[in-house]
Amino acid sequence: MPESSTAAWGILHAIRRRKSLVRTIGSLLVAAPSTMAWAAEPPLLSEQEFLAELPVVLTASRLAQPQAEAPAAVTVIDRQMIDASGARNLSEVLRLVPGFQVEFESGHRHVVGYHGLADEFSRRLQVLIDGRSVYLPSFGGVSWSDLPVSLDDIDRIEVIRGPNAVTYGANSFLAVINITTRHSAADRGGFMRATVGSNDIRDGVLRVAGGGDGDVSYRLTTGYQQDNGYGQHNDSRRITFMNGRMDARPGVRDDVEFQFGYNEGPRGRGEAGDLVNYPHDQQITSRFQQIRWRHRLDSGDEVAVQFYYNHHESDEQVLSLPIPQLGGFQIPVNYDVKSERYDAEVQHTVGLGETLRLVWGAGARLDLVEWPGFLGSADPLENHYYRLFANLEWRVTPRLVLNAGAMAEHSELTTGSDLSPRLAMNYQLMPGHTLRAGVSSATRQPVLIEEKGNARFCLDPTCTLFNQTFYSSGNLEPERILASELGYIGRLAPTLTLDLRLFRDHVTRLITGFDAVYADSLDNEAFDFRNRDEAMITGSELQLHWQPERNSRVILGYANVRIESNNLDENYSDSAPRNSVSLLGLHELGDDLLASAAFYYQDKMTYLGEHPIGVLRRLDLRLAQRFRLADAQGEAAIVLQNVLGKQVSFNEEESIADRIGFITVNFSFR
Amino acid sequence: MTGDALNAVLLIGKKIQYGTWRARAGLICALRWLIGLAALAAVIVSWPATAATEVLVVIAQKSPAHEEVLAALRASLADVSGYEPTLRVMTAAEFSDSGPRATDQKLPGLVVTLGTDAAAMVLRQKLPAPTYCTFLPQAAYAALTNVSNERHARRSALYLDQPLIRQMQLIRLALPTRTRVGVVLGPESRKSEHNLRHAAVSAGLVLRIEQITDEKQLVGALHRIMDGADVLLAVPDPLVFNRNTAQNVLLTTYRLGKPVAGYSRAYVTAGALLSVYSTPAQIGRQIGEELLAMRDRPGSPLPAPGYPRYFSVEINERVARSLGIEPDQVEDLTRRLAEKTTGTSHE
Repeated sequence: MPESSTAAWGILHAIRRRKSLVRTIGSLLVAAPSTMAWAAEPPLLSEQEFLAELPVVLTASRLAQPQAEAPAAVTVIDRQMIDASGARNLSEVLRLVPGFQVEFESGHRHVVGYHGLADEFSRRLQVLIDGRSVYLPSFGGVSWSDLPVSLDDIDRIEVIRGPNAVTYGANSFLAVINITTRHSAADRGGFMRATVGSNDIRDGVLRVAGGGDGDVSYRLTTGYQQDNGYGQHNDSRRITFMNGRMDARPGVRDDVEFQFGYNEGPRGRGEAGDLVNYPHDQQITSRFQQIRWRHRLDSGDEVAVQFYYNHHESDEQVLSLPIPQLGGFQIPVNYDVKSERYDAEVQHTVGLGETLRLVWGAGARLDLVEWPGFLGSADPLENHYYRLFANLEWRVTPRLVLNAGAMAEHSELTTGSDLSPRLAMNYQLMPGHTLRAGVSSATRQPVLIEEKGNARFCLDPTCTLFNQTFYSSGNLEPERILASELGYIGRLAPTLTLDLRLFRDHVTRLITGFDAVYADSLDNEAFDFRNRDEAMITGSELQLHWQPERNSRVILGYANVRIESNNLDENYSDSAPRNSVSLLGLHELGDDLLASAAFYYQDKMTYLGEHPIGVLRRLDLRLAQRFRLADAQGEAAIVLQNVLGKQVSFNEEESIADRIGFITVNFSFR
Repeated sequence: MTGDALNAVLLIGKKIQYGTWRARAGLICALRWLIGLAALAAVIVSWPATAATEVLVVIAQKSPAHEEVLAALRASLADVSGYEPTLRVMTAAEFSDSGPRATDQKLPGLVVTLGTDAAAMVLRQKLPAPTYCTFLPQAAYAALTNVSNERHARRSALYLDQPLIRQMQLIRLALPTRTRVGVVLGPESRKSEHNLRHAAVSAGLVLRIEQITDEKQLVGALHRIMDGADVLLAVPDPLVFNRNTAQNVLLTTYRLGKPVAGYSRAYVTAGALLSVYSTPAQIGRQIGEELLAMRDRPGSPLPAPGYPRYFSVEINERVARSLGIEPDQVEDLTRRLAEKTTGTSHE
């Protein structure tokens, strides 16, 4: 090979020579004996640095499954997509996931559904924030407005489309939403955001982070969020939140992560003109503490221990206006509900040679729910829940990966134990093209309102006349899903990836409310729950990701869902749109000017227990300008949501989404 | 030696050592210089014109790697008939006890050092014999000689580490969509910031640099820098970026879903996605070739300090798979890298 140098080399040498000349002169002026200079110098870099063996850090047990080899379909929403979506609420981001519907029942009750089967308390999804499950033990859903997390602190969201109880625990039924916040060491200095918009939107976020120079780093975020909901009802919200995260490394083998947070404030409820449910505020207090400890063993294996405490409280006691039909009696209504969850989990990841990896662990949970108005008792009801899980990943050949696992669980609310096995196989056809076939099952344990609901509204002072709204006869079985799927993940071009999935979910023993006879009640009936309904959900999903440049991306999602159900107690068949599309495009127009647009389409559908809604077309636009101001970096953005205009979004009577516009400006400084 | 010859020697010596000579003062120094220069003159005249030159090889320590360099060096000399220099091998410790001194009458024709400690030991003795420091990081040689990339008639170096441009080009070739390279620099590696920037530009990469002064700052710096970088280039630094911190580097970046380009084969075994490095055998081979070149250019000085001509590329397939990266075959990458960085070869 010729010894000629490239142009680049020439430049490098020229620079080095100039530098060396300066340094030579410098050393001449100093003229100190070089032995003395050595003594003061830092240790010299030794050839051993390049030769010595290193312990294997990324052992087989520590290496995560790549998306193409994961036993399930995964949609990743990264920071750039979160920003580009124009979302102001965490829930809205999930519209980007194929098969997902996100609507607002009211301004503060967001409904996130996947493949239908969702009512206003959509309770068939698992939602985790940094490994902490946030669905409520009282009614099973997620109170998206009450989560003590700032959208600005989220690093990425992974959505597992399909059940995954083995990895994500109880309630990982139709899908799993796994939210990860940024490591506190990734932030340094300050950050502030201010948002002002129509519909009384006034948001502010303030964050300080520090300690990134040592073994302990921290972040403290506080904020305020307000809006008037749909603007047509009393569904406003005033959210004050704070959260903190601290990451510590007590040793090279250990990571400790501590988090806490709270979210509180009034949420508007009630309707003008209603004598009982007149406009009033619901007071929310939501908080949590969490600690995670990860320890690496000599063998390369890892042990992780986690403990968290969730507390969610809704204070809402009203005395109705005098009811003329009841002789002017004022009905006392007590919607107060307090849920607490203590959860402990230990997980051990073991590498068994080069081709086998075992992840196993156990967890215990205590749910305490104090819900006097709906559980028929002033005392908190408790439920103990235990789980044991294991997954074995076997690389049979370099191109074939098998995943076999199971979760065994026991909930005190039901008798006996349940086993949720899973088997999946990923086969690489050729580099960049992988086929997946899998069968998995999961359960959804009944929640307290379903198993032990008992709500009575007294209609006279002695409560001889009453209306029994809930009376659960109990003995519910957990719901079960048996999901089979075929998937394909392919890199069609270096900038283009395709994810296809055909699925068939058989959901049985659907816990469904029905009007049961309750003789003493004013209307002779009360809401009870039973396991009669089942549904067969079949369809296909597609996800296409094209990224020609770093700041130019197009992400397309499509889902075709068909639900067949016996519809005995509920109309499950219409609970998902037949076709739905999400399309996000983002592009840097130059000079730090970024434009993005998100379009969503869904066919008509009916949320469980609601009126039908028609075809939805939604367009969100965002234009952002990045800038520098002295040492601070900033971004100003204008966001227009639902620009296509008014449309019924959840229930034709109550939820009419209108155009919303807001301006948001943020600064970060060191 | 005649007076004229002595004058000539002094002149040559003056030319070579002009700077240092002027800076030094005092009679004792001057006397020592005179003696040293006389010896140097003898060397320049006698080596490598004579066939049977004694080459003193000082190795930092007796280790399999150093033995491998020696074996490859011997092998590459053995390939050429008619040139049989006497290779005298001693460790740095032996050199310290009983090695030649600047005042010795008879000095080896050439001193080749293997490793940082050997270079440090030999350079400290200020032998008038030409010294070829090999198998040591560029930063160590620069620190030892206090001058980076100098051209010096009496000493030169063959580094163990790779030219930055080669490392950057490898990232460009193996990870074409990952164009933002993050680098964390410590007090020592900071000196290469300028070169890093130029290498990145030449390779068409965007460089993000975070500077730290203590090992404790490393994890925070990694988090910050990888927020806006697609791949981390590990640049060795004795204080903050070394095999003790490899665990933190690899785990932190891995959890962020970002690959690491390392600087050694071991780094790849430990969990870096890829590395370009030179094996002891490749260094040994090049030392041998340089010795032959010196013989073929009688009277010519040592080659300019330089980076290894021969290199290897290693990829951790498991890590690549886990990160969802599909790099080309190693052989293919190595060949294309060699083509990109002309003047180098991978064989």
